[in-house]
Amino acid sequence: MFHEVFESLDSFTIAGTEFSLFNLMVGAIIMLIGFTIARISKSLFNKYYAPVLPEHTAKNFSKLIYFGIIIISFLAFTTSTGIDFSGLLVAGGILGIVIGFATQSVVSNVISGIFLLIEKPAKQGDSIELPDSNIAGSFVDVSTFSTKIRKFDGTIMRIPNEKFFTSNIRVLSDSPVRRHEAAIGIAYKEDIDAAIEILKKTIRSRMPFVLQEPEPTFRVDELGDSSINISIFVWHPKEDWGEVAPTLLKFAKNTLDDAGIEIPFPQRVIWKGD
Amino acid sequence: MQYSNYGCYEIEEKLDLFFPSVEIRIRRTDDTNFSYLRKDSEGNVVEKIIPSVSKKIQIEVAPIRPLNYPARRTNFVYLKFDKEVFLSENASTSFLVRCPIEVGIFLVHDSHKDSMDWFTCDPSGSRFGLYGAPDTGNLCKYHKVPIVNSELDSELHLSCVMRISFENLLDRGYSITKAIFPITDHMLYYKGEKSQLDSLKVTLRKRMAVEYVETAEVRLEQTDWIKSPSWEKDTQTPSMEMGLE
Repeated sequence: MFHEVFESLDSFTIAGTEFSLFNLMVGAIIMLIGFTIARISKSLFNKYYAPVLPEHTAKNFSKLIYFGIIIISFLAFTTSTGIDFSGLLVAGGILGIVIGFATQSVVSNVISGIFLLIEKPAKQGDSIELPDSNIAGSFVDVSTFSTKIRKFDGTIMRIPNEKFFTSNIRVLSDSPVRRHEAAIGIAYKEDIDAAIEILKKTIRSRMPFVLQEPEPTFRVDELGDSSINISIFVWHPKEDWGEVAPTLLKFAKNTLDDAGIEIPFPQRVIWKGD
Repeated sequence: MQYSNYGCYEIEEKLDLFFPSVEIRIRRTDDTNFSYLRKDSEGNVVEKIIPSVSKKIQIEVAPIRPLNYPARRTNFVYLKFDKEVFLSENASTSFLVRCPIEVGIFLVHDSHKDSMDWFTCDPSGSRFGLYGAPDTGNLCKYHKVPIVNSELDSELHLSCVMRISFENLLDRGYSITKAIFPITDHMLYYKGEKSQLDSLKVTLRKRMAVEYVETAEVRLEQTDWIKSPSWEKDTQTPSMEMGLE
């Protein structure tokens, strides 16, 4: 009955394709159902599966599900209405080339984003550093066009995916421990072994985040212009760089000062001839 | 100084507890509140308010696993023995070691024990260590421990005693210098001023050409020792395999 009523309604033609009101209504219903299913699927995914996935993976899967269902609905819509896109293919091909050239960097960023999602150079929350760009911070997210890094000063740095993908990436928090090194100089008249021993004792007693296994190591690096330069290497848990790096030299200097070991500064002796 | 023992304490008006380098004072401040103050020898102070509708509160002082100071980073401990133990092929042995502990303060109410505070009485002995390579190894709490003779050789608020059994199924003798295991699998027990930890069973095995260590915890048999409340979430690893260093 309804079918006959709708069939009887007028049909019209656009670009050589005949449309009937009935077909258009069926198409609209298909699109409506498609949108509804996409939204429900996205909500169910976000509720049940997204919490166990890394945030950026969950976001991208969520978008994939949503737009995937909408694209399938659109294809069903075009089939039901009998729209023929073959005429658009030639024009679309030429247009595609033009758009391709114009949006080269955009496409490049999208493709790089896909590769980043596959390769996963860092996990969300990892501390990373891009030495070439002098950027360091916490890895936030890979989105369609860009990657976000929360710098240690709290600001967010947006980096195009292509640049991020082709950069050298140093992941600072992938290993359970990290090594920090510092250098300190003592005067030539001082006993090197005694200085090292006293530094070892201080590090052991005053720096609880420094690992005892592997224990701190010391290396006489250079007989410098004014001092014997000693490098100190200490390991610490990956999360505790801030407890070790900023304080190591302070403790080393205070320890040497307390022990009466001289830390010399550059001096120049000028001889004046008669 | 006489240090306070492990156990439950009821407080109506005030309570003072003494530990090595740490003091705790609990006072009733008004009808519905108690104050809690912990002070260590370095001058660090922790203050809390404990609301309570009843006339008295009950706390339990108990040994807890040594995982919290200076920060909670791992479930593993690395016990480095003060002496090497040489185990010839197909031999087995067991010995006792002194394992460090921290002290937990739990608020007891309606048969629940809520974690209220923790501290260590030996901050300078609580350090980290790594077992394995920097990229793949395990971060552990690292302690140099002595081998002792008796289950009663624990030190009040500083250490407990743990039995470690070794079995060498390799075709050669092996020197044992350390034990690495997830201590969250192990429960602590106390009686008066003594404490002990569930035992550890270590088996040195060979599969194909690879030598490895298998560790498993062994629950302490039913005794009159009191089981400590857990500060951390307990784990239950049936057995664990690690590379042999």
